[in-house]
Amino acid sequence: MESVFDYTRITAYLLEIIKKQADATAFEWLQRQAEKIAGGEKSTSLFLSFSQASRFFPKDNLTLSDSDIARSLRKDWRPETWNLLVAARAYLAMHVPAEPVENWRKQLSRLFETGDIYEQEALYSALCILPHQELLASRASEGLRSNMTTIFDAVALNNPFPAEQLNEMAWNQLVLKAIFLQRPMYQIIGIDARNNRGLAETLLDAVRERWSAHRSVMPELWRFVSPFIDDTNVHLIKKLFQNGNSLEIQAGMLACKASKHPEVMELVNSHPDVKEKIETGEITWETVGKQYVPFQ
Amino acid sequence: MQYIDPHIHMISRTTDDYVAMKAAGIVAVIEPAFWLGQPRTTVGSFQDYFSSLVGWERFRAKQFGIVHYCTIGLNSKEANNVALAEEVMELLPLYAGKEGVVAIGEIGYDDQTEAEDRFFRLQLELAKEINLPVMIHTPHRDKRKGTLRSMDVCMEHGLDPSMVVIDHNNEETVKDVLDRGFWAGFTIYPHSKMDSERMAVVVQQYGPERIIVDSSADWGVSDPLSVPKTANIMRQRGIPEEHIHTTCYQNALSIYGKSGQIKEEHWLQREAINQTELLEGNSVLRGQTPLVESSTAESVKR
Repeated sequence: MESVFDYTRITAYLLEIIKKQADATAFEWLQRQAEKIAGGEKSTSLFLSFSQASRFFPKDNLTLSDSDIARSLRKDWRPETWNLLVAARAYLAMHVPAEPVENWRKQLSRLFETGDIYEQEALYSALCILPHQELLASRASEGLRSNMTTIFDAVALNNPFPAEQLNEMAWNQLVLKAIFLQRPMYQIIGIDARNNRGLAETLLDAVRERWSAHRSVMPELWRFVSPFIDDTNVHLIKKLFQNGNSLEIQAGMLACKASKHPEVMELVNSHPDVKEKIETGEITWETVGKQYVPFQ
Repeated sequence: MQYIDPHIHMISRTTDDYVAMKAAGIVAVIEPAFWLGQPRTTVGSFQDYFSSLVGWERFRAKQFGIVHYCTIGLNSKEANNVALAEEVMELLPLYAGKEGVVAIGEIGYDDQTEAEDRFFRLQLELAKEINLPVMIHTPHRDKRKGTLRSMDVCMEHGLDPSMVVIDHNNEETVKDVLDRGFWAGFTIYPHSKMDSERMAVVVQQYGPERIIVDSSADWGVSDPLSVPKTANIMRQRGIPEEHIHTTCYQNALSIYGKSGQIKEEHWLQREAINQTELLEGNSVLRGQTPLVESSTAESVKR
């Protein structure tokens, strides 16, 4: 898929939101560095300014007056989940000349490879707005292999890139690892469109393994199983309803919502109160995810 | 009592060490870039090592409630591989400006060769250019001469002694270092360099000003609790609490604080430990119940 964003407008928008929160010295510094980078001067100016951004920008959450603008520039973009330092670094990265592409790729790789935790966080968060989207999938997978949650989260959560660009195997790895890490799954973008039977089966294997060890699984897991409930696995859903706590029952109910399986419909009718709250939107995957406390 | 260990190679220590260090009151560590026992043969090994210092090790420390900083530099031993050293010198500016890098170091002399001298001087110039403190490793062999020479070279390059820590001192070097206005680091090793008792005597004799206690614990016989243990010995010998605080905490903070990269608020106001940020597989927690501090817990507020 060719990238189709208006990079100039995205970059201008970034600058605009940074300006609202940054102090004047930092803002001037940023613009000066961006010009140097865009002018393709010595590559050291890119690496130095990328590091030094931490001396000018705090890790304060970005506050956006209107996040719809972000979404109109780039589908599902959520800069409101970024901090100021991430935004400033993303702004610098957007100035690396995108052509010739080999040169661009080399510069970007060097930034990724020599980045500290927070530089990598910024780069991975910015994957969704960088040019040459179609060349970045293996980089995203690399970030997902990281054992630093800060970096894993930057790719996996609140980032539209993975759902758009990862192949099925890489996507499934993302979900599986996020479950193991007990990340807030509702912050993954594009779940329902990317659900697949292979993933559901792998997750159900994980359920069997956890239950054999008398451990629980995170309730949001059932969202990924939901479209694939059938005769071969309905007994697991029944077991969930039998033994689950109230949050797990809510997750089970959400998972069963769309199922036409007769045994499932019976289960659903056994919890009319939850059913009603699901219908009124009081219980959603997001509310379940937010209430879940890992490792309990 | 809170302590800082301003010289420790955590990359070669276990998570048990982190737990024990936290329990003993260590709130922050500085990990100087050094060699790995096994000489590196390619510049990529240096790059990955530097990346660990500003990445994975920092993350690992955070899980145990300890704030991790580092210094970046080409150590004196590996400066002797000149072709490689030249490549490493090109890499240093990429790392020296990063968040949490508090000095250029540890640099200086090992065998006091020509190559060591060349790369020592180049790195002093780098430190001056980017206005970072310097951590100097003094040689094990021919220590006194090596120490004096290190200071001479610093002066020759116009460094301000108040920006330079001369580390691994002993009774024979401390007076010159202090007299010339440098900071004097002392490495407390169980069997060599310096021990806690002798350290206490040094503090009694010279007072606490510009004296810094560290463990330099690494992959050899060493003790990651050297700083708190030495503090206790000082206490037993009747050294005032204030002097203990100065030598085992404040001096390190004052000198490396000149980088602008290490601040007390980083541990006084740190986030509560949350090991649920941790991972399966080859991560630091393996199936055990993670420690999750409440954000209002006493230990965190303190």
